[in-house]
Amino acid sequence: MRVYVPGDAAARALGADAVAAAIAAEAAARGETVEIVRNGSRGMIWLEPLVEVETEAGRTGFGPVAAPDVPGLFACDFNGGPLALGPVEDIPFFARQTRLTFARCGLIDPLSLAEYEAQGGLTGLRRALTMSAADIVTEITESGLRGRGGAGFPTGIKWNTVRQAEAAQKYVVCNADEGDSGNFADRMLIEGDPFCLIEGMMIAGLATGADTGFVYLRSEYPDAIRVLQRAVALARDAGLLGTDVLGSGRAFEIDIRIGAGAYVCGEETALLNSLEGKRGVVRAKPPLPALQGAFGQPTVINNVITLATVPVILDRGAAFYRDFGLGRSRGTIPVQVAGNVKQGGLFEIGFGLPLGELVTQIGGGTASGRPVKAVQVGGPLGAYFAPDQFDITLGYEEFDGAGGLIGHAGLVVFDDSADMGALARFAMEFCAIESCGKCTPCRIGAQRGVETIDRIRAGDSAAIPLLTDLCDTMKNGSLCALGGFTPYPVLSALRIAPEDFTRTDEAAE
Amino acid sequence: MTQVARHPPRRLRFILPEIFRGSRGNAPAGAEPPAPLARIAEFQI
Repeated sequence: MRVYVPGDAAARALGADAVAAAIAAEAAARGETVEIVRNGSRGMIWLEPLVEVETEAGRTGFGPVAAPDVPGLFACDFNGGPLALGPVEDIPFFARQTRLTFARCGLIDPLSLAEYEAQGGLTGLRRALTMSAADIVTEITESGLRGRGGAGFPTGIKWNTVRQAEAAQKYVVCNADEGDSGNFADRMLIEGDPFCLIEGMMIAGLATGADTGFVYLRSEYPDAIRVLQRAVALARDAGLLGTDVLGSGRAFEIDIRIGAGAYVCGEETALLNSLEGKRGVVRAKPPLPALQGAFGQPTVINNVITLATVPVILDRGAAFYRDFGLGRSRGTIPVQVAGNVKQGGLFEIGFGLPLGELVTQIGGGTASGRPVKAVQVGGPLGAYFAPDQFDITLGYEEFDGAGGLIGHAGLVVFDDSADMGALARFAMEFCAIESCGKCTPCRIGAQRGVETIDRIRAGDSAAIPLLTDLCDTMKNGSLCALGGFTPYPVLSALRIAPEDFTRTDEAAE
Repeated sequence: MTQVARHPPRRLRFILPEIFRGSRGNAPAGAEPPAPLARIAEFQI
């Protein structure tokens, strides 16, 4: 019998290791042979640890399983019982998804290259090896793929800039410094399907003439670091990475660099400084990283999800991918639903779904059962949206037009007990703590913002125009998104619940 | 960290050093400062 117990960090945090140990012990006690596979997560976090068993009818799930439940699963021969969920891919949360980037996540053993290939892995790379660099770039451009890190810059245009740059050395850099609150897609992908990221980076290298890739991975993800380091070693042993990629005569190597915990090092130019061993401060643009990036050389820098989406585009074609989505936002996006929701998890779907549907139907409403007060979209720099804005559809332009950003598509839900004044203060405080210090509006403005919000919350409503002026200055004068977008949560919180800014309890602390 | 589509700072509504020093910059003596600047001047560092 083959049993899957996720090795994903979220599942482990919920007791998956104890469940795996209990299954091994129970099998040994019963004299049964059980093969335990530590797969990635299927993304249904509220069901973790989600144990799956291979049956003739497909993969059947049980969850959430705790170690004491294990003897009961054996007693009913993994067939039925109170924790039975039926076929995993029929669970409504899963069945509604369009899984392209995350197609293999949770399905395979993340460190089995054979299983990766059996599920369509390396098909995109093999095709790319037969194409010219210009043709690969054209395929990506025509797919409509845009940067999933949040900026939504067309990936094909970025790649073409690097391809056309003349330099003896070029680089591919993967931004895996996923520091936004409520975001976990990068971690899930790396822990559940690391070869997909490796394949995407290799295709980026073929398209741009880069033979070296760096993954800048945050130190707060020890499981992802371990899995990716092992996957890179396995890829090297299998001749996938190295001086002769799959016997093509082309070279590509990947080096993993670990961040040291600074949020701003997720900003691409600060990341490049940190990657080079320098202090992680933002660089002024221009020059663009595409022309002078890592070590001053032309560099493709993309988010994990952007790069992990490339293999499926090369495999199934630009037209297939472009068919999903809405307007200028093409393809699928892995939405991460978190915070005060019943069904938190990762939900990959084509662009175009209304925000309210994600919160109330996919997420199932608040876990507390209280009404939703606000949803923050796009991490700590994203705006709060109230239920009266729930008709906004998922898309870069749609969120931009509504005064927010889609960011890395992380949603954090708050019920009506949330204090929006305290959340606005936190946004400024976060910016003050995490500012790299290079530009004045962010470094000093955030500190002044905390003080001004404290004044407002202490009863000085005359300071509200001061706060809005300060936000205007930060938005337009900051060098990067940290200072430039901190005003978004602040001003949206002020719009949604101005009455929360007159509470004095938090401000007095 | 979320990436965003934005250009380098291109529209400074105020002259930054003046904002953060609470100074009136090059305004002639006795002249009324612009309204936003008057408010910004409330900042004390």
